[in-house]
Amino acid sequence: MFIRLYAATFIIIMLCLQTAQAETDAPLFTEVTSAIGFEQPKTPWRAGTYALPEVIGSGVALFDYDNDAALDVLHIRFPPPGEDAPAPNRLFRQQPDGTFVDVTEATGIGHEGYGQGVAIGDVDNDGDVDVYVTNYGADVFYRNNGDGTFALEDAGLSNEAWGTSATFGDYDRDGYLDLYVVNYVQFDPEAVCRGKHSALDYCNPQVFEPAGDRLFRNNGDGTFTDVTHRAGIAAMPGRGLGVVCLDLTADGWADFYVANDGEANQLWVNQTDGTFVEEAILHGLAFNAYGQPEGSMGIAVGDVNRDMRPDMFVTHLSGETNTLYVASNYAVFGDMTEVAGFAGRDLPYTGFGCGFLDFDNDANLDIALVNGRVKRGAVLEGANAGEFWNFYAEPNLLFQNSNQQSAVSHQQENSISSETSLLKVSDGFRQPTAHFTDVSSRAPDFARWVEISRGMAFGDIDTDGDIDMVVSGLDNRLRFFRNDAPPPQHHWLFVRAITQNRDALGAQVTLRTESSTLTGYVLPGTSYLSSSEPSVHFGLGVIEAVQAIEVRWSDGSREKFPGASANQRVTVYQGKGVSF
Amino acid sequence: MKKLILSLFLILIHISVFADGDIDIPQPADLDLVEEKLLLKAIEDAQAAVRTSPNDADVWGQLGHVYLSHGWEIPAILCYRQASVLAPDEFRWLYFLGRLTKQRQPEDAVKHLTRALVLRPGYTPAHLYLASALRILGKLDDAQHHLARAKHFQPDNPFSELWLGEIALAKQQMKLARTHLENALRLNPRQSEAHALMTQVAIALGDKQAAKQHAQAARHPSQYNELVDPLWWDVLRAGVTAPLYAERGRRYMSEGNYASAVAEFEPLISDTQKDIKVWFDYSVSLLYTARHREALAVLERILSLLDKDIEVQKAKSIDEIAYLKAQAYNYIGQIYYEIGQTAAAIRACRMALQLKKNKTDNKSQGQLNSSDYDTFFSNVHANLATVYENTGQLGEAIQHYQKALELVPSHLPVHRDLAGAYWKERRYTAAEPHYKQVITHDTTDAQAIYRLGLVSLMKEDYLEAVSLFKKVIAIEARHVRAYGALGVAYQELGNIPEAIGTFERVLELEPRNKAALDKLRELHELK
Repeated sequence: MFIRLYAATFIIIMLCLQTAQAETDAPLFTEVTSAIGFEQPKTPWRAGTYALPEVIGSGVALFDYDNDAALDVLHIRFPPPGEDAPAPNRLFRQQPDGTFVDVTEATGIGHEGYGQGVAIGDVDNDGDVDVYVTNYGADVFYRNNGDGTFALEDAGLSNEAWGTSATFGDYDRDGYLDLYVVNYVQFDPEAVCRGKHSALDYCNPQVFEPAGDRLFRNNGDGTFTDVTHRAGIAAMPGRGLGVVCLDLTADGWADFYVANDGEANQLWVNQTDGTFVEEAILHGLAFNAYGQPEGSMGIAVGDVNRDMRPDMFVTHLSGETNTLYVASNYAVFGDMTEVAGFAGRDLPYTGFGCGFLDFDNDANLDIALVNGRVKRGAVLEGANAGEFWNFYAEPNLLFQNSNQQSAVSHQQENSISSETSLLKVSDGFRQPTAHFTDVSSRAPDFARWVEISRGMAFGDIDTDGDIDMVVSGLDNRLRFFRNDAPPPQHHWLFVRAITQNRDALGAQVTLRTESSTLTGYVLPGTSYLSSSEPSVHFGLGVIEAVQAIEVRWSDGSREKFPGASANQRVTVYQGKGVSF
Repeated sequence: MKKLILSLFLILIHISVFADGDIDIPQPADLDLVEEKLLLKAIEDAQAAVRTSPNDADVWGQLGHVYLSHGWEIPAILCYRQASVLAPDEFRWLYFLGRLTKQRQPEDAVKHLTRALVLRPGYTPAHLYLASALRILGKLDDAQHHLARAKHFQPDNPFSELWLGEIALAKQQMKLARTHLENALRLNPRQSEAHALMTQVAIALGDKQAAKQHAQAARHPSQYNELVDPLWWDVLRAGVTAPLYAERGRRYMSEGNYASAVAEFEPLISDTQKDIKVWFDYSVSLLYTARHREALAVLERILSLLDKDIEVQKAKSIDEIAYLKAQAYNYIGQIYYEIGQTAAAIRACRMALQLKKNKTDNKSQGQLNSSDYDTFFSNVHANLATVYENTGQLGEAIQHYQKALELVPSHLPVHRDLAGAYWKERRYTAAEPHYKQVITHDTTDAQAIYRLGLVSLMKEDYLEAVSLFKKVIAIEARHVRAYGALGVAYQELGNIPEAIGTFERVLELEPRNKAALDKLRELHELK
């Protein structure tokens, strides 16, 4: 007994030392959920019934529905397990004092379905954003009336399958946003699945047939046509959960990348004639480094190695790494997960929502992701999800990009060897990339909750020049995290790119500074089932001004705009810059 | 100093675990959700053994096996760790510890597996797992070294080549990567990972055509050659739930040990069993242990489930059900053929063929792999043809061999059988193209070459005949008929000395060969 007492005393001393040390570092994020007016659930989520939709979760959107320059919140919701009680989606409007009020009823957007994902885009180019919500069940589309209300419309957007993520993008360059809807599986509620130890658990998606995605082409008159078959998308149904719409093949035309659960991801390459061909394997985006398919969920897009090419981070099941795909010069991606330092820390967890964000404004893209199992596992310390769900609960993670590249010149970048550099612009097949360090312990409010988190959206909610985060939990809970990370000497710039009177989804924005370039993408529809602020955020480090802003629009054209001093929001309009 | 601290720490743990007689036995967190009585009993027994003999590494290891086989990795790791503390020189516990920690704690795994390999240097799976842990840590050269060792000890294991290829790819050594991956595909052509990596290599080497071909092949689910790991059997044998019985049964089948497979499947067979794959595997195991009547009964049961059981039907598409029924009828046909009931065999094969969809309906095949689907029905046609051929119905046999080739034109055994059937019908020129197909892919098929030689003789192409018969003799030095035919060819070419020498060789092999004696007499008269 004496020895046990000694050991316990030692541990307490160590903890005290660690606490004292930790106190010297201010938390990177602070949870402000209650402070900004969001209620927390008072009782634990109902125990599950092992129906697969229960563990898929739902998303959240950060968007400005009323054009008052403040981000509002749309929370996609679903009923508790085994209940028919409606759980309408909720829209919260941001007040001038930074708090939120529920405006669901007044706006008419509170659909009572089994909500899953959300896509935000101005489909009629009238200057206000419209909303598409996917459901386990029929999806719904809300047109923004421009007066603070929404109208539920069919608009030709009929999808009865189990929709998960969806994204808007102008794939045919006609100036109007089209819509890609990812569908998951043809779920059979009577399916019963058990683990190796014979206990009931949630089924693998492979138990069910894939549902098949949908592509809707915007007719230019406010309506859509289902072109799934004509475009070739129907040729290869997958069990999809995530999607992005971006030119990933460097030909100037928007492609669709779909994260599939437990099977090869898909890259639908735009053939420029309204059709697509699936080429994920050819572009290195289907599998991990070992050529194996993984259980893919959320997708983040950003240029982590500053080569002006989009890199991607895809979240996966526990036992699989979350995978970092880095683009090479000929549109082939390499799995750089291990080189980037991810393998190991995130391996035990099942990742869902995720995003590249430069949380400390140091000009390097960091990564935040949220976790939560889909199969029962050991209960982790601090689990906070109720008796049934604690077996599925996991903490969230924050990774900081630890490269020091902002201090070196562009020319120097090219000369640094792969052994010494954490990041290198290279024409090689698999160039090294940034290195990420787990800093979750420095964001205790974000990482301490051992829960089941799913959706995640990013945006500057409090308009202080850095990226805040909102997370949606499996229990229909939202958590908001205010970014307190950037030191005062780190500057920032937001760029909003406008085309045809709307956000230019799919556009690439590049800042030219004296020493380097920074590239971002107008891509609100990333992460998992969620939608983020469409303006592109750049952390600038100590740089106080940019020399030029270049935009490659989704129609392939490129324009250069004048530079700007740091710490402001800049809006650029297509046609107002200098073509190059 | 580090070792001293570690020793003190281990002593502390040991004392804290056992000091008051209480043993902290790792428990699966969700044990209370387990309903399977056999499993609860197995856990109870293994834990009781630990309580009885807490200093016995083997009982800790066995508890680890019970946990691991049922999917509880974390408590299994704790058990193996305790086992390796108690028996630090025992290879098994270090091996399983390394194997289980290689992804979550690769540094620890490297230590465990390195130590394990000191104790048992030639254990291939340990080299592979160590390489994997080293690869995760970015130690590519060290990983390569252990993969090379694994390849040395087990040259036919495709995983070494696959991972060597992956590392070469990571090092941008594209030509080396291609060599390794080609080797991997030679050892297991259906290893989709190798095709996926080959796609990247081909793109890097500028071979777009090859890239597309490999990308297409990579789309199919990978079919693994089982890694030979005798120790894994210890884990599998600790399993008492249905999936474990099935897994053991299938592993026994892959080893050709069908009697043991039957024993594993038997506990799973009951009226409530709805897994068609289990029923099929059981029936095939019975078939290959010559328990024909029982196999037939199981296959009839499969047909009944597919026809009448709503639960089974709901889980499958109409096309899948038809395909499964066709497979059942094919096996039934095979059994009837083996027990000599050819009419019943023909009926069963015909039933299978009736379930094949028309080409125009192929779109509705849904999830069925069209290549596998065609190969299966090609086999059914060939099986039916074999039954017809062996009952003397050569016309019917030829018709079905032809249909088998329509589905899979490169089906070599069918070319051989069809040529044989034509030969029996004395339709030698009809046989010729099929024998040519055979020898294109199998240059050592003496009978095919010999018969092609005979066709050449008939066509009076004596030079070709000589060339072919010489090939036969190169393959089979004592092929008497080839010598005889070669002698005739020489004779027709007017090469009497060679003809005489060849017939004399026949007599060396068969001193009383009448045809050779006659020919020699005739040739000497001509001389």
